Amino acid sequence: VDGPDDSEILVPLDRRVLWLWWTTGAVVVAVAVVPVAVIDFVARPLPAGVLTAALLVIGGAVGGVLPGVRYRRWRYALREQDLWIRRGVVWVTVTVIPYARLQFVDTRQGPLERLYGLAQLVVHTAAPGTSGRLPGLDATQAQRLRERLSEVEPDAAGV
Amino acid sequence: MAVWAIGQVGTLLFLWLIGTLPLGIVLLLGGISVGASAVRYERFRWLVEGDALIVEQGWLQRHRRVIPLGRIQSVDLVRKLRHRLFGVVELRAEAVGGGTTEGRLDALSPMEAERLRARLLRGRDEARATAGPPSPEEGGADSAEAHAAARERRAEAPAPPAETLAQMSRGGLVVAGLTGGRVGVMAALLGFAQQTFGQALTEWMERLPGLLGARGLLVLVVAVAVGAFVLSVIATTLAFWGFTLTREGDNLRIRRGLLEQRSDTIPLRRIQSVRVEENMARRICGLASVKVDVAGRTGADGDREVGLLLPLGRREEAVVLAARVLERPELAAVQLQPMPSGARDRRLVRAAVVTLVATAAAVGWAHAVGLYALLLALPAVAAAIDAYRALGCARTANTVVTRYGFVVRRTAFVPVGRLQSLALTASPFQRRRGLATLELHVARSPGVWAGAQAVDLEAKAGMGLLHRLLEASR
Repeated sequence: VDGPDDSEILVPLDRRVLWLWWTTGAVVVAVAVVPVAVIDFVARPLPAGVLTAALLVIGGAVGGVLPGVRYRRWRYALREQDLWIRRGVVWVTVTVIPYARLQFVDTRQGPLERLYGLAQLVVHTAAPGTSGRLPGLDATQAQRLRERLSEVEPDAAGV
Repeated sequence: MAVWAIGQVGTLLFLWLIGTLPLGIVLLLGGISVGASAVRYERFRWLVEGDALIVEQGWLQRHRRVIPLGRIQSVDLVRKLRHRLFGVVELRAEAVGGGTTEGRLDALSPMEAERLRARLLRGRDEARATAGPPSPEEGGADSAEAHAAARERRAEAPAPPAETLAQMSRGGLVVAGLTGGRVGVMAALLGFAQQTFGQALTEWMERLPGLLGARGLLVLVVAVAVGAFVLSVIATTLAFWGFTLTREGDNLRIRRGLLEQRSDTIPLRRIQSVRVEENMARRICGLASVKVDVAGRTGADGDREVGLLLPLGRREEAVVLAARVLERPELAAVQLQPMPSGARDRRLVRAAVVTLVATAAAVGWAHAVGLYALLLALPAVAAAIDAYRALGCARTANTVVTRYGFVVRRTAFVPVGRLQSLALTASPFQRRRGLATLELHVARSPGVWAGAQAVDLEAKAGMGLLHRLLEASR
């Protein structure tokens, strides 16, 4: 399971998305560490500090390594008539969405994404639950893509 | 008016009967609801004007809704018990988008309802024909032909004759009830009783073993099981009594129901895919049911049976029906290609793992006696081979056929022109054997099933098929 064609090259996401994912991971660990530390130092099921340290080590390792794997896996290609997205760490999925089937195209930008100047591009077809998502695009590029894809004349297959 | 009043008074009576409301309040609220229904009736007006259905209603705030006929997707006639009491019919006109029924006329005389239905459908087709292509309802290579054919048919025969595609006999309904998934109705009823009577029932159930003894408990369990089957047969019979599927011009029409009579219309061109379903019991008997996926269909009242084209029939009949509905008769004879042997090996490995885990647990619990759990290998391997045989995929000029499923085996027929998007997925286990799953995404009601998939294709072949389908769906 890989690219659209040998001749076509799947491009990676913007490198800044790595920092976005690392930051998100750090925030999640920071939020989780508070209740764990309370249990650790107040209830003391184990010698004080062990649980907190374990969480920090495991959380740090997963949060540090996973974004790298994801970044390498997550690639996309905007071909003439369709969008290809490859993603997934355990389950690797290649999704193809012909532009002609697009119902609507969104860009989304959360606070962390704004911090790094990134945006998500989300495309929807008439099929439920099969939206295509491109995280970590440069914000202005995402805007441009949205406008370009919105202009494609839809011929939505018999909805 | 009386229909509305009964709808509300019925609820009140029920609340009174189960003792949550005193009689005085019931009478008061009943009077109010009859009065309100009268006012509502006075202010309710509808008409078909030009190419739109106009519905006006509301007392303090007038509400006027204009539904262009071209937007109407389907027109259904429903007769609930309260409608039959007064010899009237409810008409529901469904338009694109929105989660509810857009045009709803609660009480019409049957004659008037039939006339209006025909008028709305005709108006819709005319509005679309003049709007011409590129209507969003058409797609793929076959749209132009279908359009031309439809126009021709209209020109030749203004009122197309109905052609019966499927019917259900009474015996068939009983078998459908016995083998269907409606046995769960009993569980739902028990849950309802539990909620209504609450604590008392739970306590009573806890005392049961003491009261009845072992044999009594066994009898009770058997009685509940038999009761579930009986209820299931009754529910199926009520819902599908006199089931008839006909084709009238470009529409499929389903009539069914004993107490609540329904008449649903499905435009052929809105069908996204058709599937033949066989659960285990039906597979053993060579029986199957047929369902269609229709985009954006809300299924008014949460009725999931709307897309059911055939509650039960012989498997061969079911496949022929699916092919006829898609107007591709060659599909009836299509032979599915089996998946590579790696797919079978995966399922055998799964069976072995399940057996070993169960045995380990049994030995841990009952020591040496637990080794008998190894006998589980027999059914597990049989199930693995059956699950492998379920897998299949075929492609004709303009349709993909996929089949998978062990508990419920589903054969899906997906016209290539209906494909919205495609995906090829591989888990780590699939990657090790060079396999992948091709998902075919079509517009359908969400959540009913996972959608058509060619499970455990050879990864290379899957990518090739994906490319060819992408070409063909342009």
